[in-house]
Amino acid sequence: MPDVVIIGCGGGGGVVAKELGELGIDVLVLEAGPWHGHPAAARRGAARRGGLTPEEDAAWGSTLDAQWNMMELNAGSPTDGYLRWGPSDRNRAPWQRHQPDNMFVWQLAGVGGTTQHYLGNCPRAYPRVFTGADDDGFPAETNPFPFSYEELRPYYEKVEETLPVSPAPATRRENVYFWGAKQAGHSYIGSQSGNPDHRTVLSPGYREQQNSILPAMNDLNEVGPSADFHYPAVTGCTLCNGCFEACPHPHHAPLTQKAKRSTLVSYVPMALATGKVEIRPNSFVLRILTEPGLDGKLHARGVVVRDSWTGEIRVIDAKIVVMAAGTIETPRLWMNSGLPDPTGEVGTGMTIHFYDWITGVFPFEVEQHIGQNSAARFDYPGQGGLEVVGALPAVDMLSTYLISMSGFAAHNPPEPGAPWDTRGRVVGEEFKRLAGNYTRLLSLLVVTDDEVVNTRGPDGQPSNGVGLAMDWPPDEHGMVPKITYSAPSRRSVERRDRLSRVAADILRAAGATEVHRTDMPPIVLHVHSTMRLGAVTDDAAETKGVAGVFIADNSVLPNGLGGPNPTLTTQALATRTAEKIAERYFTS
Amino acid sequence: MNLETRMLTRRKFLQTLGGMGIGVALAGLVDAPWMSRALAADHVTDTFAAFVDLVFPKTPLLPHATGGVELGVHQFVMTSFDSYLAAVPSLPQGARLRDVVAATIDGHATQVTPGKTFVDQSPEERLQTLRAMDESPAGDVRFVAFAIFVMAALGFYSEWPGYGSRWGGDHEELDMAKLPVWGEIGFPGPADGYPKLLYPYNPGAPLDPETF
Repeated sequence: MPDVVIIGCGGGGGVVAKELGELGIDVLVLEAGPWHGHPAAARRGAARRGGLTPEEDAAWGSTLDAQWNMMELNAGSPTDGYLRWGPSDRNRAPWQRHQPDNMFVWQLAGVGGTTQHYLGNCPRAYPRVFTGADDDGFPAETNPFPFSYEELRPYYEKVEETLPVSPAPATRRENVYFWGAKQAGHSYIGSQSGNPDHRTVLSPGYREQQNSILPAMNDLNEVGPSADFHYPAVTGCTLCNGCFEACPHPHHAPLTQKAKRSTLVSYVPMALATGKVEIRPNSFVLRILTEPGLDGKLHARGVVVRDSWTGEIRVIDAKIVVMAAGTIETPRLWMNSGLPDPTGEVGTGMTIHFYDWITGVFPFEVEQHIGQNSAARFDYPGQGGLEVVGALPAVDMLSTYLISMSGFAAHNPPEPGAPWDTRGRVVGEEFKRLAGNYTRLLSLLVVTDDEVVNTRGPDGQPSNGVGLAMDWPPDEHGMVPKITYSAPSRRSVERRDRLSRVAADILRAAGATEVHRTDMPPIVLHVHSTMRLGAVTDDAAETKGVAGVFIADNSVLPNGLGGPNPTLTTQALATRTAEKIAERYFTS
Repeated sequence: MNLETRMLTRRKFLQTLGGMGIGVALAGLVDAPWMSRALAADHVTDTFAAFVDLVFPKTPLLPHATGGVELGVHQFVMTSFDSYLAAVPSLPQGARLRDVVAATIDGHATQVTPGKTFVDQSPEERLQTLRAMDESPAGDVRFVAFAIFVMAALGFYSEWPGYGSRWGGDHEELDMAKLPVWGEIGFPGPADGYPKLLYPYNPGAPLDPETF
């Protein structure tokens, strides 16, 4: 019987596993989806304990090279892509979710979870979203972390060193953006600004991303082509622009030397190397089991897990359960387990950075298809931020011209004073004209400081959050989650609009001749705060409803971090939570 | 009309729509004269082709000339719907989601232009139909109006046309001759890397891109 069962091996679960393993605590990680890179993971019994030998490290790297070819459909098809929310067997349908709106949830199953396709962006949360933040003139965060930024700082530093995190490289695309930001009068606040604490962002400005991608070699331009960008002649990032398709570069590198540091290639091998951690793919947890304790509280007793390959169901006993199944599945599992919700907050308050997407057409080459998917950003504490995004064609065309909450650009009258020319979907010949500029398009993703709204509709469904789809039959894992984002706050809407204007002004200043605003419908990629610290859990991320159950994914974040990407903060918090678990339950 | 579609009675079909929350929008249309036609396989295909042609028309005068229908993108959209929601609650045996989606589009088309299905509509009328779906009180209709663009973009701009008829979850060798779109927009295809690092580089002192 393991000391601790962790549900989900994504951005958070993998970190808790490694940290607990290093403390000598026996851990079993149950991952619902596949284990890419594991040569035997397509078969039952692919569970693994113990570190990789150098030979295995190389073999697992080669397996990834073969499995991940970065083709947009093979990678990202929500139906049967290698990156999807569904079982290992790609011939089977994806797992059901009810998302009854103009929206899309883009989460992944599998060891590494959604970090398999994340862009490696690792900004810290703005200090203003923690308790004790200084007044910066903007309304204070309504759901702050229940402790200070300084409390989390050492955990940030530990994760940044472990992944590791470093300044992203520039290509032509980033230079165009930096030029526009500077011409628009903004300050540079990045790693070369002379501020030794530049990762702590207190005021607006532009900078390179801090990414968990091994740095490109300084002489990549000379060495790369002759060596076909293959390891060991080439190490680190090759600027292939395939982060979102789970780039396996450099080819021929061992698993642990792959450039992009998803937990699959970073924390997971480290966890295995402790000898104390077992990871089991194809294992979908259906229920958390509890029992009354002598103290009158409900205590964790174990989990019921279904083998998503064979359908076999079994019970695993454990006194400590860590929920790290993600912002959708963690509240779903809580509700499907019939666990108590004394504060009524489970599943509510989902934040998604309420994206928008602003694009400029340039009269010169931007080469958006070259570089890390996102290597530069703009920070605006109190409002949110912007991220430069270069994408492969399907995702780029979708995000730019083919989805919108504003209908069709052809129907929308000009907006006097707006810094964009058009808003809404573009189709037909006009679309084809614009799409022909693919390599001369530069897009900025708006990441809004999205306020927590924890209201519910008349049917009990959270306005922004996760409930159970009562009018759908259950699937093989129980009641299906119903996901809605129907009530962004007035402030979130205003912030998103203000950031869109900042983005359009930067693109104009950089030389864009046409600027388009997508008015993006809810795209659920950065998704957090449905099991909030302080609301559903105590300050140590242990749930108030059940003793011995901790939460270690994005759902436990108490807010949307002010706009910065969530993974690094979740990993820092998961590092702290592992310490708290050890202190509370394993001091002997 | 194929066998599966013929087995699909009107009543069962409407149950399906109800299961998706779409029935709300179509409740008044049970005996609409277009319903039988809407269930015909050819008409379903034509409906998806009309959508793809609206979004990605053939444009011989532009460098990005190729149209979506000539690459079969409508076929991709149909099969994607079928498999994406293979487990849609209350979908009757043998029913396919493509039929539900096509009927949903026509249900809205006939509200925008009485007597005309989507295939019969002008491009501007088709936009109004899609706009009506965007604004439907039924959440699943709004989802369909979103998802159809996602699938069309994946079919047109991904590697899908290069598989020819061989796509089945495996990624076999691509036939680049069947991928004209990438060349038209300047995308070289996924690469192992690019010798394009700016180094040394200071983001605080960027270069003028006009002269770069």
